[in-house]
Amino acid sequence: MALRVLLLTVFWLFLGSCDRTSPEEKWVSALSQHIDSSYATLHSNSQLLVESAQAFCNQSSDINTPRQQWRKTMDAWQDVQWVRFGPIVETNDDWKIQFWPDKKNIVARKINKILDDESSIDESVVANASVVVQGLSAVELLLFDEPYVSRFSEGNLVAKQCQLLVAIANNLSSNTDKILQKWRDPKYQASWMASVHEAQDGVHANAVSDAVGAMLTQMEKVKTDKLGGPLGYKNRNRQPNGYFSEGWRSNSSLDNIKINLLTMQGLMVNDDAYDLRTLLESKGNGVIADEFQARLNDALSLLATVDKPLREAVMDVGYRPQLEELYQSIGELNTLIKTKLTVALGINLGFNSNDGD
Amino acid sequence: MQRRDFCKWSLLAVAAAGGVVCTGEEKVALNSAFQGIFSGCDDQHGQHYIAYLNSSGEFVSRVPVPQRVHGSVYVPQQQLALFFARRPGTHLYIMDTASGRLVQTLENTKDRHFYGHGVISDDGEWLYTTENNLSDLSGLIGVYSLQGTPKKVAELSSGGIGPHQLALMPGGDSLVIANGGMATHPSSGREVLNLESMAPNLAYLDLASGRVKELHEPPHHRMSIRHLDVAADGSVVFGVQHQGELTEAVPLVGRHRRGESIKWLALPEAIQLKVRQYTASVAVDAGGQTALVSCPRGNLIGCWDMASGRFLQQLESQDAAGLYRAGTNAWVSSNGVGQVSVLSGDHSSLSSRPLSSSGYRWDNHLTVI
Repeated sequence: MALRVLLLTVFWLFLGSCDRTSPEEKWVSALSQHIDSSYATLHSNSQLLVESAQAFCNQSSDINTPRQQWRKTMDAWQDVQWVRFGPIVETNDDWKIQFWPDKKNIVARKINKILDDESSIDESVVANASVVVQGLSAVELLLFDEPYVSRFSEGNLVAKQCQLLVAIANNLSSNTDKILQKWRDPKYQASWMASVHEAQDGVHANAVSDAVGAMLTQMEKVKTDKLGGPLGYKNRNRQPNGYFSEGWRSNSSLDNIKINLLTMQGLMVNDDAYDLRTLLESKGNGVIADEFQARLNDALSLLATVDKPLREAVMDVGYRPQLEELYQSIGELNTLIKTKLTVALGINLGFNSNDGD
Repeated sequence: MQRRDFCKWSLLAVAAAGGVVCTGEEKVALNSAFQGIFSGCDDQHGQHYIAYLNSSGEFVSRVPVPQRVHGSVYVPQQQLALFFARRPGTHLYIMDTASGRLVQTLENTKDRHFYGHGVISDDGEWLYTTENNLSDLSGLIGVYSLQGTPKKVAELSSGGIGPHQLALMPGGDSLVIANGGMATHPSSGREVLNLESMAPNLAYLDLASGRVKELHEPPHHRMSIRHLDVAADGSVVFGVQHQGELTEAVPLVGRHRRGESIKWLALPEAIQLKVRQYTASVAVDAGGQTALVSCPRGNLIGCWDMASGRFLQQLESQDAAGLYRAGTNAWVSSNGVGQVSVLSGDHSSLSSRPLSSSGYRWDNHLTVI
């Protein structure tokens, strides 16, 4: 483990010291370290979630302790949720961290089935079960949904529900560790970096198009699912429904969106590393970075005006104007990524996967 | 195309037909025998092309065209390749394969557009295409005579909205049609106008009477049946593009025999989530043993056992696109990052061998001859 980190550090130092390193390689190198750090934060929070769940089940703390730690773990996930490339996608581990959207409440149904069917629940039961019950959505159900919360203080399901809570947290901790280690695999890192200069024809996928494509996918998810879902835009009747928001049980929906926007901001401007703005400036396209930041600031300002949970805000006509404006604002950001940012970087996003028939 | 290139291609085609390709000094035995490949493609600047490749995956001809091409079909009696514009395109491009030239661009009739697919009768005299009637958004099958200058002679109801891929059933007296159920109109681009009232189906159209004789609907109204292939025994395998949430566990691949109900093929949860509710090409091998389905959003090709419906394996392919049978347990595949490959091997253990790689993005379908 220590040797791996050392080798990786030497690898990046070598790249960093090479005069002929292209701006794209410098950005991808910095991005790799940024993602490494984000995965590490997610894993350390997952470990703390195990500890807080155990403390709660040992009756040495109240439910607020694991709830607070769940929020921190969810925040860490929201910060790295945009990374839809690399090992996490190849092995479907992203679904094991969070299963959402869940319009049919499959998480509750599958959790109930485990509670009904299993006499004793440990990490292996969860690891071998559907991805639906393996992640943060399942923990959110147990810690924030009233019928489950009540059962922690009364009834004969306390022990089993505690076993399940700790087992899911343990499994999440194992999975986040696995994701981190796979990301750090020098072979993967070397091939990801090599793709930057191997694919100069604009057709083959490379680390830069992976990253920008993932940024766009994430912001489309924020617009279409996280905002458009509860606003009712995904349904023909266009009726808002607060239960279609991402974190309706824990009232974390708006925090999630805020973190998603701040993550984009951090990718564009990072004073401590080679950032996307510097890459754009190296190509004489700093103006696109300005425009990107302006759009992001608009969205963040609009978000700040929503002062009640998204689940309630979408049902309140008084909040509709700013929510609709926020939706439009993120749409403009996405158009900027699709049209100007990709052109400025000389990349094409997926062909059939984005626009097939 | 240069005359020199054409002669080189002809020699390669003859060699390939015998099961051997000469590639410089070495000889590579092929598991399949085919002579050429047709497909639409785009370059990195977004220019659309119709393309003809030889059995080594090299360009014989590549002609720029104004509309993006989706599927294609070969008319052996006239040595013509027909390429269909995808929705809302109105062009049908006709390539003379002897010269590699675009010899005609057929514009669809008023208030109609193509959906990107067509099929010909066994005698090569008739062409059937899936089309949109823009006056009421109903699905049509355009019937074209290929004798002399191709021209539309009739239109039949497809049995649903948004007909996509179609195929001729063994015997040649009926068509099987994937009615995707999605209403679109060029005035609103590719936006789906009827998400809540979609009614996709798999329809069998009797060519003698021009009527739909059998129709089957999937269990969820947003399960858009889009692509299909027919095995020699008449089994139809089809792929679904689900217009619902990514987390909904709906079947994405089905098999059907006339007179029976649909049998849905098993999809492991990991694959289900990875392919993001989207399938592209469907191709059953010549022996009818194995069905392959390309999944561009999952960057993979799924393989199923036809007899049991069991999921066999996945083959990795970035932006996986075209698939077409090229023998028993053998296929040609393409993808959106310029690769063309041959897939072959044992029934339960297929592998991919690259044929060629270029800077052209292959559209979702290809035709192998």
